[in-house]
Amino acid sequence: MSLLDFARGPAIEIAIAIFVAGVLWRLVSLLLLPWAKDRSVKRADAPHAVVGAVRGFVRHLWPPSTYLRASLFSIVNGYVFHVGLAIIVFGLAQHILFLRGLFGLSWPNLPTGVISVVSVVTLASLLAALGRRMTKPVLKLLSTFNDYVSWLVTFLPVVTGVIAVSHLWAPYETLLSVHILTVCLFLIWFPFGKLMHAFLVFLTRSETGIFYSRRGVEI
Amino acid sequence: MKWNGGVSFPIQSGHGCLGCSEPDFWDRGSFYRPLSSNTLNDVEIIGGAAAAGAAVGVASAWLARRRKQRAEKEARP
Repeated sequence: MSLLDFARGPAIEIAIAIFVAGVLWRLVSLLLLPWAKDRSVKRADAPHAVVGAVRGFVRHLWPPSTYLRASLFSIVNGYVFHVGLAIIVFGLAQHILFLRGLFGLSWPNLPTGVISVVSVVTLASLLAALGRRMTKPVLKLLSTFNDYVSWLVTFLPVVTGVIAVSHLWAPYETLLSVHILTVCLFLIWFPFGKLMHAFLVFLTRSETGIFYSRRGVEI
Repeated sequence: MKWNGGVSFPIQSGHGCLGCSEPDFWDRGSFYRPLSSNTLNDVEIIGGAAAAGAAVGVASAWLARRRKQRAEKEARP
């Protein structure tokens, strides 16, 4: 069995299985936990919980003007690499072919040149995020092993993907194998680390929105 | 039966048989898979993982509820 056979065979299969099992474990165990009863008196003009949840989520997409100046870099940089990652994952032809193999769905791809530019911008943005984390004293103090591993397993697939597409230093099959193996690492770490925010962000921000709208707090 | 007005066909050009004279040719899928696609895609493994993950989630939530009930019992005077 070649490295590529292993990477796109058992390795990615096991990684996807761990990802699916881990995500369901986290979500099911969280959603079935006992819910604390909200004993506050609901405001007469409080909107329905669903409206409060949506408002809360949308409102948190951008910080209030009071905090904007202090958090502008992290907000903009965060958007840059999140949008960049989405463009790379869903826009590159090879990725669409991979996803089509999994789900049977496909869509038109973006030109390779566009993906290359987005990849370089995303890499720079991820490096900037790491640099900020390591140089801001408070952020550095708050950062844990989880933050650094989550960053690393996100960074590695992008950098190995750029190297593979550029055919640098090794045969394409080897580069592709390494790229797929780094994606396996990403999938395996995802449910157990902070990458799980991709799912949990919808729950936490919606719950905050419901909490505030019930009390009539302007956010 | 040759292609391109009788110029050639896959075997003549050194390729394996594509079954081009079989019924519904093309519509039964390609002979090839893209290099980037996974080769197993075993629904049973992924489905089993989903079931196992959900079961562990239910079990851990049940344990948490039991812990809560015990704590409430102990806290009662």
